[in-house]
Amino acid sequence: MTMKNGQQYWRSLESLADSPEFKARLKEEFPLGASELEVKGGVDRRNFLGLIGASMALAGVTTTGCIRKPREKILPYAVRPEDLVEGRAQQYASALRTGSSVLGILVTTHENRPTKIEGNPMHPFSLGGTNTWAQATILDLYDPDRSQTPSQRGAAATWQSVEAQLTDIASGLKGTQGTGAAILVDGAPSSVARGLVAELQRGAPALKIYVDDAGQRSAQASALAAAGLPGAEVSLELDKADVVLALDADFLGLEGDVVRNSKLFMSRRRIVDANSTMNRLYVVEPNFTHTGFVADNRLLLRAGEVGEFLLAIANELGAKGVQVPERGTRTVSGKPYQAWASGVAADLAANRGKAVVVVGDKQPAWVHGLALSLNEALGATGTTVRYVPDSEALVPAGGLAELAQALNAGSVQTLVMLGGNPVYTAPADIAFGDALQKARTSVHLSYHADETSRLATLHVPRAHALESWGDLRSTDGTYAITQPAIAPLFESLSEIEVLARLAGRQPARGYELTKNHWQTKLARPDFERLWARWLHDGVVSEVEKPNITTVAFNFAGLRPLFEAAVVSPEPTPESLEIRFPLSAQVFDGRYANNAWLQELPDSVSKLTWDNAALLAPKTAKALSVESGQMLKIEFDGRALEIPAWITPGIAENVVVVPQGWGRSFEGRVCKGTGFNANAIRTSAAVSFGSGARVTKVAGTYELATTQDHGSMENRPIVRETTFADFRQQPDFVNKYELMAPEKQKTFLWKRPYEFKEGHQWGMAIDLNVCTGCNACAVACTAENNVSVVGKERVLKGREMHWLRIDRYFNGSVDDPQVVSQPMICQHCENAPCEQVCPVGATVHSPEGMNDMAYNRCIGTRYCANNCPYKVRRFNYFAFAKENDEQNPLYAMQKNPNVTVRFRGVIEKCSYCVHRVNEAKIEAKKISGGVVADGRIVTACMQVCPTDAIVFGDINNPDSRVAQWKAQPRNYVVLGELATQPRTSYLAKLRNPNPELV
Amino acid sequence: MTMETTASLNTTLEPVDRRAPLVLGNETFASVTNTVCAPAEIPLKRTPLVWYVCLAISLAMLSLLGVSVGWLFWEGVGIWGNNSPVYWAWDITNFVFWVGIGHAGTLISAVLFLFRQKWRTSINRFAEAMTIFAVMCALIFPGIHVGRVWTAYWLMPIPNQMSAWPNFRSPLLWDVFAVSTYATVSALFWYTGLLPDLATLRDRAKSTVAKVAYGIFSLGWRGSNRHWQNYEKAYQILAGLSTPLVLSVHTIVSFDFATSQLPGWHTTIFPPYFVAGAIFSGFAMVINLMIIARWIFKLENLVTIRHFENMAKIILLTGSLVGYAYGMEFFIAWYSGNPYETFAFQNRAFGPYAWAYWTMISCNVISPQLFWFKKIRTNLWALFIISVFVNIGMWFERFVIIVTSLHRDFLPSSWAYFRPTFWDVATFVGSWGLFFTMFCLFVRFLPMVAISEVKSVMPEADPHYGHGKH
Repeated sequence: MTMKNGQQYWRSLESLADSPEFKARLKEEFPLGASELEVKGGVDRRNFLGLIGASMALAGVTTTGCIRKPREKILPYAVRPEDLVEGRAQQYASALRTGSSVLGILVTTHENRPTKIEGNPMHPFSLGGTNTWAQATILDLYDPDRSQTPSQRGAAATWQSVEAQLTDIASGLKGTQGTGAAILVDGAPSSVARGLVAELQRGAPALKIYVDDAGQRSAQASALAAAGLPGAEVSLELDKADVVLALDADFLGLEGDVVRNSKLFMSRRRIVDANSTMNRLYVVEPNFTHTGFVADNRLLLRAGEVGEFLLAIANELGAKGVQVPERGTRTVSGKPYQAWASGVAADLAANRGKAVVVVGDKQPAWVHGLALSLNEALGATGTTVRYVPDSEALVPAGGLAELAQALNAGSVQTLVMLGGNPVYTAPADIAFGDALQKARTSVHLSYHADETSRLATLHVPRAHALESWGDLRSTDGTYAITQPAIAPLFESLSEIEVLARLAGRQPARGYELTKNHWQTKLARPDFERLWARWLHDGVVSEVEKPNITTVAFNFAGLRPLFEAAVVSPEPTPESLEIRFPLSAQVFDGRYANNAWLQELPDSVSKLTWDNAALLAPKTAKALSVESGQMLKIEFDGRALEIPAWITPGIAENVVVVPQGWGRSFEGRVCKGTGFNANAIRTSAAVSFGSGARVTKVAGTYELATTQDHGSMENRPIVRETTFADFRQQPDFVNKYELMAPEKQKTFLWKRPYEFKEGHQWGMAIDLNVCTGCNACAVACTAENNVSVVGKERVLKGREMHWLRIDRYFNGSVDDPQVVSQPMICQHCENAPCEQVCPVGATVHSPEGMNDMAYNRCIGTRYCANNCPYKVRRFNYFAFAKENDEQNPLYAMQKNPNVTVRFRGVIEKCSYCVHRVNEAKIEAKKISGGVVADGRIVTACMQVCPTDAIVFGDINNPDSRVAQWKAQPRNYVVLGELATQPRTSYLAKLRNPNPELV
Repeated sequence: MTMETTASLNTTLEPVDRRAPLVLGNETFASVTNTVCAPAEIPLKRTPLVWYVCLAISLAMLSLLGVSVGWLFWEGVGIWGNNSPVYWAWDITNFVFWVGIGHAGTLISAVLFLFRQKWRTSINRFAEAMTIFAVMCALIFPGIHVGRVWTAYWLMPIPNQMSAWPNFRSPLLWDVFAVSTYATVSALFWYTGLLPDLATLRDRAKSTVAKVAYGIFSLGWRGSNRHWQNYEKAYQILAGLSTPLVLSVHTIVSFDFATSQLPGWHTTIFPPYFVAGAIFSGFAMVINLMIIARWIFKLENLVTIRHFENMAKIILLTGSLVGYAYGMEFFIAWYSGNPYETFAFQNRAFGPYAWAYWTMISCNVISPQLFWFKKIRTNLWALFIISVFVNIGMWFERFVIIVTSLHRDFLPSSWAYFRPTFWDVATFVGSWGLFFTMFCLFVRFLPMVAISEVKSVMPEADPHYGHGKH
């Protein structure tokens, strides 16, 4: 064992684990797990720790199918760790990088087994919320395909040889001053890592640092650099903005600090009554994003034209007397959107100081430059948008393209890749795989033995973010310490542990490295006390945040960018514009082996388990293509075969091919899913390009969607009006009623409960702030042990999500609007499901919840037939058992407070009844059984980045939920059926500019 | 199959004494006994090959049922095509179909008995057997369609230590009571009627096995006056008990749908509509089976064309009732002004399952109208083919009601399309295997015509026989 871990309490097991007798005994005791998890090339201690954990988990989980009493051994604590009470969850503060943002998180652990991630309310970039990726990260931790052993050119290697090779590289660096050596980092590294890199560069000045820009933030960075702010971060202060113009920018979905953006932006859309105010969002985009969902006015425009649109805005602003510091020499005229641009410009000009222009990461640098300039002109700088310099920012020698060049030229001979998967993610023309093989030594630290690992000379397993020490810096300079919630399940190294080895540090353990770094960095006498607080709070409060309100831009520096701007030609059906967005599920492919995300329906296309070439109905008609038809997309001399999927809301003559699918890494989850956009993506067209030729090829492909039908059929399911109409008629929701609301409360017979006493639980969902981001759906899956069913079963309509997001289009099919509605069990007071169950397996609680008694359910499915909301799910097979068999580690993620459902029973949203009961038990001890408002937070409510969901006691008029329900926008879905749902919705409003039609 | 057009046979409108006899061909009491007992009395070694062939095919289908159900129990309901939102599909379609088939038997035996419709005597045994076998097939489906079959008995109100009772508000529970009562009463009724004939077989039996077997099952029947008196009373009482069941069973089966709130299910017309449909399909099935049995076992004198014609008239009547119900459903869907209801019916006729709907309409509404023509309702080929159509149509009726209502309900977000799997088909075909197997055994070992009852409608049974008019 060369690896030593920082946490002392595992030591006793460690010594045991080393003895062959103990190994043999363990194997005997856990024959199933032991054989499955055995690692070729030497069994190690951490496997056994993992096994012990897994067995504990299995013992706590109701096993599925016919085997009713699993014979599993439970290992009790011989010495109970301090502060640990069996059965009570603990939370540890940490931080997590998701997409291009950093989230402060709280990791829930049960008996030291992480099971759930929540947002840290004390962290300014999560504010208690999280997103889909943060939620799904917990499953990644238990990915059975994660790399468990180092390998050398594909063959298993020992940790001794890893250590030896890293030591070799370290001494080589010293010897050559770093000539011919390079480090590739994946996104912005931690402060600890930057300290180590600086240390390395001091010893080896020629050492080059390259940055793999998976989040595609480089265009903005180049614009900022050109304007004299290299390395600065952009922080949107959307709570201060009355008017937001988003140009191909998904700031509420995938780009930037989405959780914080969502929280701040939506704080301006919480409409209580006619006196409330509402911000306005203009979105110009080529395909629907979450931001586009929310848009008050949306202009459908292909990506190549977005810059031109912004030029038109600049023209109009200039015409209105707004001084634009720098906008190049080009002007735009005669475009169909001229009137639109004029209207938007007028609105922006009228709201100077309260307006902001946001440009998406997919747009080229000159558009970002123009936005910098316009934001300055609109008085946004320092108020609605802040530029935060980072003194520690790395000065990279380039990105993947430059690194590939250096590799091909032989100027980089030794390459250490800290994370990332450039062989897969790099655009095709870079041919990174070929370049990589030219390096004499290449080390790849990676969570999976992926495409890059296979070509590298040495692959080192990387510890999961929840297993490693470090820190993360948010956009505004907030630091958070990342602390592990569990010892690594398999022997692995973190990013900083590898860097420390290269720097020749001893001891090179994450804990010491992090702690020492911060001790040095802050040099505070009371460091130990502070350190303990940081770990507790999850935020390093002692670092001064740069608070810059005025920025001295060098706008003249933007001129070359404007001059280099390329005007993309108008696409035709013969020569389409092609667009490569990052995936909302698998991002750049890093989450491809995450079953929850694979099965998560895309918010717009509702596809699961695959990507597809998305086309607008008009484009598809011109190409005479139908959904599922295999297409050949030829772009820049390369071709990709991919099925078509017709989705409204895409600009005409644009084909959208999301990145991140079609990995050649054969994980048991991602194998065979989707098609690799990177095969045709080029470095000139990182996000979009023109001149793609789409032709039909033989064959069709079955795509699994969870929602075929996009129209509401004129039913009052999602109720929506404009803000102006709402002010005229605040109770507009009632005009949609098919039956008068008071009549909806009449019943034929006496009800078992009058629901007047004690706590009466209810929920309200504000559709006006819902972005349809899916975070609640994943959170629900994580909290409630919801099974994954796989593509075949989704095709059969058997997905198990307790919470689904219904998506409806309205308006014209060529330029629709879209609304999303989280749909869960409505907990009807007069529940149709309860009436028909022949065995009384679903019954009402006196507190108004519709409960499921799983072990009473015999599976007639009558309840599901009679549920008008179709929120009940049936275990057609032993899904949970299959999940555990296919992914043996998944059992460790299970929430012990929620029954794992077996084959043949119905399941559905329980309003997180286990959380309700936990709070009630707590309340019994401290407040005489009365649960204070806000004490119960359901999983969906907790995760929501826009606080669109509120749960509580509707019997208490002061509770938030009762107040929401008293709002004029409150309505229930299908109320005319007299189901009396406990879940109600607050109607959606849009605030369109009346001048734009 | 012989072709007959014996128009003069139908003399229903004539005064009773001038009506044509129900049994033709100068049959005597002895010849009737001989004809009916003949199939049961063939020595095992000389069983006709055709019977073995039929039994082999039936058994093959039955074993398909065994395999399907075994695989279902092993894997779960997921082997079928059921999905969300179509949680019920072929399973419940088959259940309602078979229960419907099972209606003709009791109607013929009990209702026609109480109304003194003497023409029933030659076909009632046959129809009752069909009822029992159909109900057996029907009972399979609710039992196996549940997710956890090993707990299916929880549907019964069995006292237990946890005091967990079924939910008496659930129509599914009413179903359990209704169908099991029907199965029990039908079986008792059939068995009671069989007693005198079993005794006849016992008395004529030559082999020891037959003697013992028929001896046990005839319960010591000696044909004494007291026996006959008790028998007639019992038969009458059971007929009285069965009659309301004919109406109640399918009424309650229809409650499964009518009391739910799904558009397309939630309609008050269902009880009469389901009962009419059940009689409709039951009679069609009797005609199909009877034509074959009559031909194979040469029962032309006992089962005359007049029987078929009467049954054809009932099919015409019930078919028209069903057609009226279809029309009325559409009227109410429009008249109610309920948008979900209106949509459900538009979707039925013009949605993705329009093919199933129009199959149903063609088979159930259009094809029986041909029975207005005497030539058609007295032509055995036409009768046979139209009856097959009726059964296809009635299967589709249940499919249309169940699947097309479920596949698109209130929230368009959950709409989906159902496709059956191999196992759906196999289970259904397998249930036919059970039905035919039971039938093969029935025609081979039991009297398929009620000997004593037929004799009672023969001229010889008339005390004034041979003495002219009075």
